[in-house]
Amino acid sequence: MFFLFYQLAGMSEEPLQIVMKKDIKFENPVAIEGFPDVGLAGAIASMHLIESWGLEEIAYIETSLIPPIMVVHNGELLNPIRIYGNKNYIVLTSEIALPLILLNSLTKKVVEWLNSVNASMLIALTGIPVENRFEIEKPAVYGVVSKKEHVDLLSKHKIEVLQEGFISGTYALFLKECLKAGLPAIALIAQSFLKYPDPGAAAELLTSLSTILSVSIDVKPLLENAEEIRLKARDLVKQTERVAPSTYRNVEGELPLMYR
Amino acid sequence: MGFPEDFDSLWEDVEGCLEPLVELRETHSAFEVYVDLPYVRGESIEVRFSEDALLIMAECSKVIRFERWGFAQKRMESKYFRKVIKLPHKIDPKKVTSSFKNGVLKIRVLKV
Repeated sequence: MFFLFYQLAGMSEEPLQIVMKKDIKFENPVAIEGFPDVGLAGAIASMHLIESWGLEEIAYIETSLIPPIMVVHNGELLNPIRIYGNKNYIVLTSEIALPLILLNSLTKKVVEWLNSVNASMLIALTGIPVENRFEIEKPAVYGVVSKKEHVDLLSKHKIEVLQEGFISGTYALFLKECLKAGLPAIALIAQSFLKYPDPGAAAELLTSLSTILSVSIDVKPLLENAEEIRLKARDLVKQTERVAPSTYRNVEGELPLMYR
Repeated sequence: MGFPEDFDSLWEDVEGCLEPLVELRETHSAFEVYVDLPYVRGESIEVRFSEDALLIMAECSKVIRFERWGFAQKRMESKYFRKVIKLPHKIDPKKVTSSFKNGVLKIRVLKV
């Protein structure tokens, strides 16, 4: 009993921390969040960005709120929730589904850290399941902004901005924390499959991201390797599906009560 | 009722098949099944029906290799997908439509 109390007390003090691996002199970096969510659109997009921009791992998340999991890649031991970047960009990604218990601390800590490195903006990449995704060749991308002043950021690039509705899940918490912390934030949301990895949705997210940031992102390799990605991401999709119901993604698409 | 014992296709002899990701939707009159089949071409898909289940089998265009860690390291390779989907209601196997697009199989079957 005493031991349990001690453990809980210890956990509540520092349940999560960002551990730096490299000392980077950031220059108002743009942060891009692509944690696993619907169709893994954001996760696939963030992993493609890391590879195509050749970003290095600069930090990782250490926390007692997830199971004791490490990842091995090419013989190298890595933490599953990692931060990549250079002086201009920060990319957040994870190879495990993020449990609900982790999300509040994670989003709070990450946004605090982004402010401490003078990040200029956070862009969350995610998917929204659509029933007719099977029939859609080119998934549409929508946007949500943390403050109304940022609508222009999206509308000048012809990205439709959500005006009414619920948003939920990891990106909703990121937007909430950014709003509290005064960090400009937008979410790009691509029409996506619910139960399969969706590299096509990820490619559309990256195409929209490239127009917003005015940078080149080559999505051709992503589309060419779509079949391989769909196979490799099967287990993460299943994990995310087990976790996602607890993040209330099912309320999206419903109308909120308040009206003007 | 399950599938007949005397399935005569080569699929029955295939061990270590991959299980595809599946999404099942239900309307008042039909079931829609969506099956993710990367590396599969349309002509290598076989679907069989019983009165309350579907058996989906497909051959990939290449051998898929996985290295998995569990209690012991396990290498797995397969060229086939196989999945039995139990349905919560009887269906009419004669009233089926299907299409295959971008590696996703859609099957629509009417309820009895």
